[in-house]
Amino acid sequence: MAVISNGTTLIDNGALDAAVSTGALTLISTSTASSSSSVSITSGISSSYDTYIFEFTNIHPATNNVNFLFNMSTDSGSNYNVSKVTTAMYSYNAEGGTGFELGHNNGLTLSNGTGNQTLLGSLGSDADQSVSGYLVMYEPSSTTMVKHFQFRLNYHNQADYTQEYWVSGYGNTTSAVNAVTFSMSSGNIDSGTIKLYGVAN
Amino acid sequence: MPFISNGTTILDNGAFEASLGNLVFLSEQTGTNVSSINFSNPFSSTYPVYYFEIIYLRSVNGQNVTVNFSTDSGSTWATKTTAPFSCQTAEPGGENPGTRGPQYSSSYDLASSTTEQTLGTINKGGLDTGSDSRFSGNLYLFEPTSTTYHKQFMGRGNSYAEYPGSTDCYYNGYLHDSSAINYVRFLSYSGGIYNIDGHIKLYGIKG
Repeated sequence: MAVISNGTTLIDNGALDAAVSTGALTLISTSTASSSSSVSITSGISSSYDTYIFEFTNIHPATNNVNFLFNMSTDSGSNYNVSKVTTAMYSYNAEGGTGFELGHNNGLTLSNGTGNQTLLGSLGSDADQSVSGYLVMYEPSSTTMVKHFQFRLNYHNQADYTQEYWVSGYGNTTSAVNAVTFSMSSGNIDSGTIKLYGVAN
Repeated sequence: MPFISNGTTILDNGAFEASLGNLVFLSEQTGTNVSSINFSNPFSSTYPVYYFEIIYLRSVNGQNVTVNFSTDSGSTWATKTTAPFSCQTAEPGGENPGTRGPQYSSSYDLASSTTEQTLGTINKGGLDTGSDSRFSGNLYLFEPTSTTYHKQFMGRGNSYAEYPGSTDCYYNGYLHDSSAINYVRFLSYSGGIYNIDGHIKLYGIKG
């Protein structure tokens, strides 16, 4: 049975009519960390969408004063070793009003390095401390282009200040990227969620 | 006849009233070796915010990529004031090694100018000319149909720059125009217009 309103078919054959405008942000997967050494997303990154958004909510480390890490794979997660060229800007402000700064952290940048990309440093592990933010990846399945990506992450530095990092760059490969992994420089990811969205046409 | 569930109107008058998501795809423009990629009459008062998704934009001869806005379908271009900035890291062995920034992109800011706003706010040169070298990013435009306010815009992109290396580019500003914007063009401009490749999607964000 079709649902027709004012002459317009809205639902038929068990689905919304193709002419119905729906949201373009499509949830693909939710990954939940629970004392996890890493969170790897090895499915859902394909040619189905041109753009993917990863949403990080309250990623909480088990160990204090650690770095949050990222890498990409072109072989479905067998190896995380994509060459990357990156930049890393930050801003921070201390809770006690003792300092603030906008700058670039040369120590986090990669110039065709294949190791993990450090996304931020000195993440605190107090019960109320975590990192949240997002990552945008553009057409990771391309076999022609390098792979652009952009992070924006805000977190509670263990020294009790708010800090934001903008890490941006490209995976310097023309192979399709089909998996990503996130981890801490020491210890587990105690908790937190990473949602993967595709941005549909 | 409305469809009402538990007192809530789900659909009526040929449309859903229940939310089906706030990011709505509107259109896509694709170009291969074209002088510009254009959006003509893309805006209405339906959405307060519009979002362009710029995917693998490339200047065929390595110039920079830009955007401009018009209130008269591209006959003239809006006056803009902008404050772009960037940071960059070069690949090893390039001509401009190391990291720089964040730095104000003084070569690409505009002060009451109608010229193109550069998206790849690279403080040296343009995009790399390799076939895998592109610019990807986004651009938000706020209430382009307003006839009261100047139009704010902001965005962020990553470019494969000529040195070669990665540049994290931020572009932002406002159009000194209280007329409705009805035309947007993306092109490669550096003293002259150069052809581009790429595709750009336009979304509306519901209020």
